[in-house]
Amino acid sequence: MQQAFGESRRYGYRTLLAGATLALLLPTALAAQERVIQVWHTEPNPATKAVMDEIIADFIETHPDVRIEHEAVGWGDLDLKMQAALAAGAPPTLTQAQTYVERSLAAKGMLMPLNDVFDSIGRDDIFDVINFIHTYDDGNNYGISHAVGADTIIIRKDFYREAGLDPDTAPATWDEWLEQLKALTIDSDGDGRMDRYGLGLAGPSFFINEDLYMWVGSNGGRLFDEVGRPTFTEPQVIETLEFWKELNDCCLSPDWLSQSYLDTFANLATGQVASILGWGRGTGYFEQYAPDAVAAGDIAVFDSKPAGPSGEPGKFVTQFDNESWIVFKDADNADVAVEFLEFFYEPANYLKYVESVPTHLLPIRKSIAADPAYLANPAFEKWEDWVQAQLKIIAEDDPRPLLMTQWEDLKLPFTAEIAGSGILADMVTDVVQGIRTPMEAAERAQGRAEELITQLGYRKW
Amino acid sequence: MAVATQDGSTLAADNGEAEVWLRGRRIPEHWWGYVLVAPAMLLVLGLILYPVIYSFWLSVHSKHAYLPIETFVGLDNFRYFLTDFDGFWRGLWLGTVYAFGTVALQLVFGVGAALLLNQTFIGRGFVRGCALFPYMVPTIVVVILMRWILNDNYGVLPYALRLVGLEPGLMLGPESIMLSLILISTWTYFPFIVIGTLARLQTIDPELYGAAKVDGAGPLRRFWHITLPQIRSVLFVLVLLRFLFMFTKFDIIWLFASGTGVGYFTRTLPIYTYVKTFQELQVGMGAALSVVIFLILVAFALLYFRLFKRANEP
Repeated sequence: MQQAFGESRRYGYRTLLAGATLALLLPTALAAQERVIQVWHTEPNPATKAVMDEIIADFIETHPDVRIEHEAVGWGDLDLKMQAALAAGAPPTLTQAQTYVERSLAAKGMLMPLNDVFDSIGRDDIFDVINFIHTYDDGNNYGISHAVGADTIIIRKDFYREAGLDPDTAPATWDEWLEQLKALTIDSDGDGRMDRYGLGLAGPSFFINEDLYMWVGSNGGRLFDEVGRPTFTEPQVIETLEFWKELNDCCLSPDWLSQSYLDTFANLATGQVASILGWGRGTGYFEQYAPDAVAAGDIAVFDSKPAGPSGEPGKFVTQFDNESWIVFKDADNADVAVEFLEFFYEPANYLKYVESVPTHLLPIRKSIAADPAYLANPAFEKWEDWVQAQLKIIAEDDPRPLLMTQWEDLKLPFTAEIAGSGILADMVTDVVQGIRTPMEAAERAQGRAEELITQLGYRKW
Repeated sequence: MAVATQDGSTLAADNGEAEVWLRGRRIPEHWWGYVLVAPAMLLVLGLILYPVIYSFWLSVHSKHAYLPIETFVGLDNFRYFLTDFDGFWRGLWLGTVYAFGTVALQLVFGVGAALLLNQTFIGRGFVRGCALFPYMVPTIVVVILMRWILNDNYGVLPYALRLVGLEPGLMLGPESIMLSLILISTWTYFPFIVIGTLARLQTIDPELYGAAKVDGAGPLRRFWHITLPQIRSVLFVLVLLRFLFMFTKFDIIWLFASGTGVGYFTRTLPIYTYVKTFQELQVGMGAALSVVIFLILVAFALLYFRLFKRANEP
């Protein structure tokens, strides 16, 4: 009896051991077969997020061994998140990124060529500017824009009319713009406190960087010279800072430095400001929060921006919204990310994606842009002027990626570090707060930027 | 004392120390102590000592955040901060203002609230729970709510103040952002002082107050001569801890102001360390800053003990 019990116990032990071994090895074996990639994209908009979910689900259906962990990150937060992830050595496999991030990372040899993605789309079917931005000296493509758009001045036509201004005529110069904004800044009840300001700007450093490079470019200036040396003390930059100070003192919402990007939309929707700078995604925001103004056709955009005193009349720099998809070459399963991108740009999938926010995500594929199914989207009729303004700017006005006042800046390997450092935002804050004169602030920023570039090992002057 | 022998049985050693035999070799029992403590020591070494040593090592190197290249630069990083008036010295000043400001207010409101909550009144338990509420709210929620409340365009507080004829100015503007931050931080963290102080107040012998009353001492004198001496030792620890916490505070400052133009006016040393490490991507500089912050806090703690410990000894 005792012997039988002993055998039974030994059998039980063996079974237990075998079970435990199986339990330990099985997940490992399964995990070895499963290919996982992490994807970050910058479209937290529910419609786009739903489409991304759908595209990913469809991809997994044809790739059952793949798991995609994806996350929507607000594009104002993306740089910070990316830099923290990179510093921690844990970037995602595939992410969207600003052009300067793509360029900086490619210069450091961290990105996987996406030539196959370009080939799968067909290079002739991609707009020339996209081919140009993402083609490097070595002939490779290290990124590909997910969609395009252009930054515009968004106005309330009703406030323009109230102020006796023509809402259909864009200001051609900074002087004209200032005059408009002064007329739009009003104290309607005479209590000594302004009830509406001419312009609302977003205060995060990311947006100050945006406004600065666009205005410097529109003033015929640049932020870096041919060898990458900062040019913050050049007259065009100083004039921009002087303009900013004047704008701040007369016509900007006084707490603009602490306002988020979405705050500026809320301020325009509620009539706190008469104009802002922004993107096509805002149409959904206005439809929700200012339906009366939308119904009356009072939310509109200008199809040009004013030029500074040192710029050429009619020539301006505005931001080309062309965030890229990039793949980290050392990431696990980077090849799966490339496969996913090829799938993402397939006509049916890409059409769904750009149609999720049609006023913001303009396609990079010529065939989609000309597709009657795409052009029949009702949003284009409702927001025709906004879409046409962007198309006109992209086609005729040579908009540039963030922080690139000139196309040569694409080759600078340190723009991401300059953008993240807060040097440019500090310079502007110094000036608008009256802490330093424009020249003093520019000299300080110049010194800091030169020092940073030197410390990073990119000094070439 | 029972000890193990070669054959597995146990014996007592002559010297009273237990012995263990392993493959014919005698192992003193106190070695087992080391063996048993070893996992904990490894954890401490791995989780605390290694990061600290690595941080010191990084601080004498120039290293890009995500490139696997580092160059030994000696004390250059530290020398850089000596003349970095806009970054380091300004951050040190702002951090000191923030830490002293918040700790002083936390102390005043925390002790005051603890004294009130130590009284007997109907609903005391509920009010005590409410007093702890700010400490339980996640920082991000506090920040979103406060930015909303203080917003100049649609915030309820500026609106209410204007209704009664007061002009609050820009509560999130450059000139008052630090003050707003200090007040919000005080609101969030003062329950820490309340908990510590209240716990000590509840252990004070009521007979002391009874005797003082008999002697004719009023509430102020009773507080000064009985309560304060009794809670002094608790406050000594609480103030030290709160100062260390507030001087190294990152989350609430970052979420409330940093990343915007007004972040320039709240860029304390921990924020500046983040900027150097994760935005300028200079890990060596960031590590040097963290070492400097560590040394500043060690110096502060030593000075604090030297100045106040004796006064707190019974």
